[in-house]
Amino acid sequence: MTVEDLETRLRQAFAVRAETTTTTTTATDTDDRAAGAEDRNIAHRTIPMASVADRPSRRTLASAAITVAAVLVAGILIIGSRHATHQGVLSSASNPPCTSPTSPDTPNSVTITHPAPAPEAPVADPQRPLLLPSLPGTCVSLVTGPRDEQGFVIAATPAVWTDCSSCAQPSKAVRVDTVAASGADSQQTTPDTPYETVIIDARRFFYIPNAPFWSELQPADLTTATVELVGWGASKDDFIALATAALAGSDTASIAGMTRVQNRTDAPTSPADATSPAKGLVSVIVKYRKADGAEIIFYYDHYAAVPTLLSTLPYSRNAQFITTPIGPAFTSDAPGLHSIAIQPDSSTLIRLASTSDSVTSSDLLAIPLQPTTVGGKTWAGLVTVARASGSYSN
Amino acid sequence: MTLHSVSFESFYAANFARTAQLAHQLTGSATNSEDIAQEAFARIRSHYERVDNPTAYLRTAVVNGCRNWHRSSSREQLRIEHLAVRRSSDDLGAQELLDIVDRLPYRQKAVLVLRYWLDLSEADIAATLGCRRGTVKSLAARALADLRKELPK
Repeated sequence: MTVEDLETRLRQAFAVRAETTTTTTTATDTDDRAAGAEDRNIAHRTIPMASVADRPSRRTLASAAITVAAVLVAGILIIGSRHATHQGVLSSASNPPCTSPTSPDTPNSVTITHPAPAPEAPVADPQRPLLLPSLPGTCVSLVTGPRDEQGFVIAATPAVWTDCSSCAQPSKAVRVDTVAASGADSQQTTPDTPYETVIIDARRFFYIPNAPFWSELQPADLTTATVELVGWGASKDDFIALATAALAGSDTASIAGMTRVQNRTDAPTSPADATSPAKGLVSVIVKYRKADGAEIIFYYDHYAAVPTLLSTLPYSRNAQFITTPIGPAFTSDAPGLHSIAIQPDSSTLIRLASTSDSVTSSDLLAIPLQPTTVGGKTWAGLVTVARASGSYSN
Repeated sequence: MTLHSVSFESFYAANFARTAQLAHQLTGSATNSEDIAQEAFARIRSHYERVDNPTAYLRTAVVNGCRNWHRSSSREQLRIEHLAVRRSSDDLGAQELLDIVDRLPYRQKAVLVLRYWLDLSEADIAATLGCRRGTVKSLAARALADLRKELPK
């Protein structure tokens, strides 16, 4: 037989054997078996001892049985010999018989205490597309307009549902008509200045991977949405220098605007809060227009935007953004992801975004956004850092 | 965010049968293959979130589990080693060939299974067995040579 023949026969033989492998796994017990492979500690479940998932292996049982038998025999011999030595009688035959703990009347089961199962990670629904970074038909427009000396414009109005003109999807049109504007940016502080309209594609807006809380929110929750326009009086040159370093090799991006959307002024402080419509949500939508004219939409939310951000924006590891003099004071002992809105003056706004698992092994991931001038004012940007471990402070 | 978008339960459901098959190939024992597969899953469970390549991890766990099984069952194997009925190579059936394969040293058998059943590359086999690629080559060559020697003329 040639080697080739032998190889062919081996493949055939292995295939035959694979077909004869019978597993007892069924659709109904897969979960139990998977649970059995987990830490055996899921909430008070009764699992039959016969379950393969939880029984000891045969060789373990055999080994244990042999060990126990050997110990018993040795013990009996020792005790028996002493007994016989003293009394001249080996009376073990008079001992009562052993009663099996697994007699037919005894339920052949064992109760195992398991910890409460961890929340299920959301499964991506292909019918609900991710918020994509760019792109024609993305129904997000941004508010531009006046803001107060803090850089915020807070305006609220009941939103009106309408169909997006470009993609015909039901969208939320939020008209900003209340202004609290004053300060140095005088050319934009007239309360009568009309605001642009924010149109949010409901499907895209509310589908956030890795954040079941957000996906459960309904578009109707936005009926009392407040739109904030967030801006800072950054030094454009400083940011450009940083952004150039961070975005080296990529198209130059510029911030067309940032909005923060929430339906109450008090941001949710926990994911649980975010599930309550009364608490609302905090989100940021940033729209960039690249040098070639293409638009990039960046969605950020209080808890889950970072993965989205990482998947949608060019970034540079170790960009050292927050080590620059204009960076905000930032101290964190918590591993995880943090988003920081950069403001070069003393009133730094820092927002923690997520403490979920790190998405990168790098110690620092910075995504500075190149500022731009909107409405006669230079905007700063939002930077996200991901820390795998340790702490950082500048 | 975890490294994997697939939950452990889904990973388990998708891979258990294949894992048991691998154990069956490596041990020749259908009855023990499920135990070994289950132990391999139990082993990976605590690391699942952090393992870069859970499939490779699982494969290595099974290969190691089967190696341990071989060690513990070596005496039993010695007793049945020569029970296979010898036939001519032309009418040699799959089971007879597998019987001969099962008598090979474990690492040789593992190389054959990983190579001809899982179609792994030499590099992947080396990673799974924890040896160098050159070792994989020599093991494979030795296994085939031993097989040919064992085959009836």
